[in-house]
Amino acid sequence: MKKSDPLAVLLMILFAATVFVGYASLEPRNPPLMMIETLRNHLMHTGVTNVVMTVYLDFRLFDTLFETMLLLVCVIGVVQFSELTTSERNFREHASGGRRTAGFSPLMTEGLQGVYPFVLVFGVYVVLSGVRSPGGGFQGGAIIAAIFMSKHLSTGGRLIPVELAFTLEKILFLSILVLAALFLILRRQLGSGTYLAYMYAINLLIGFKVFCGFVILYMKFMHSGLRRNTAATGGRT
Amino acid sequence: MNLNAVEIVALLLFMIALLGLLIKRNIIKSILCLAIIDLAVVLFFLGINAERNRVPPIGTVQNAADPVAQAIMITAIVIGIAVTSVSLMMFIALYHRYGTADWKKALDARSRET
Repeated sequence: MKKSDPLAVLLMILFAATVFVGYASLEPRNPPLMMIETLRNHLMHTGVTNVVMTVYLDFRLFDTLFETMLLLVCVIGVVQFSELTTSERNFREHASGGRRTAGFSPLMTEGLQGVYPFVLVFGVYVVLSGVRSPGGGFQGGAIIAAIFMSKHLSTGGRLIPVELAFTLEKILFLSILVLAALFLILRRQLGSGTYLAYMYAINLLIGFKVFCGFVILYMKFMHSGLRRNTAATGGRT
Repeated sequence: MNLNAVEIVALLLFMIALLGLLIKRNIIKSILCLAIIDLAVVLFFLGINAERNRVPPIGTVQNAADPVAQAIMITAIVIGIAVTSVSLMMFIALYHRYGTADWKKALDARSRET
């Protein structure tokens, strides 16, 4: 413990007490029944039964758009920061280095081989089934990216090239923007029949974009960490 | 007193992580505290109006959970991941430059540099 720590702890306890007392003395909140009913009435004739999905792809569409943009900005930031410190050559070597099982138990590498296709299919299922059940583009994309990263971490081998994923993510973000804008403008002309198709399409796009974003983040981290390793072992070439 | 258990846990997590931000000198621990604060906020929003007999708001069900909080928290989770990854990458750059994971030492090294 340093000198200023007791003061910080005291301040935090005071702050916590204030928050708890203040929050507990609020009026009891009623569940927003009316809003849920409104949403559900809206959904009755569109075929989408997942209310959460209709909130973030329709009622709060701008939130989702800006959030996907934020992920893109974050990826750009990470790419820029990693360019500051590393060289591409080391990473390429690792990414194309074939099977790399040293340091990992065979239980993990072999087990992952078996689980891999199932989790991949599950991820695609989560992306596509988001319209009618819990799930959606963000969740499914994250699942697919997670199993890709685990596989690469345990067995090595090739992932998609960073440049390709980066370009792909930008294109996907643009197409999400265009699709959402078209839907906003044309929704009165199109009628409720296209609602379901729009939901499926934008879910797929978001799932793929999130996957690309996560894979880029992972590869850039890998790439930065490797520089130090190779420097320590005398620049393995 | 109308705090439920989830809200209490979320507020406590938030406070603990804020305390960690205040008193820890390690940059990695600061980033972890930021991530925990993000998760606490997510937990708090999901815990509002949470009751044992609520069901997911899918299809025509009675007593559904609040869908807006869930929809907004999906975005909050992704933003949290973005913030954590950018700060970790900034930390890697900083570590390569100054060779330390301590706020104070990094600041000293920077002031020596200029």
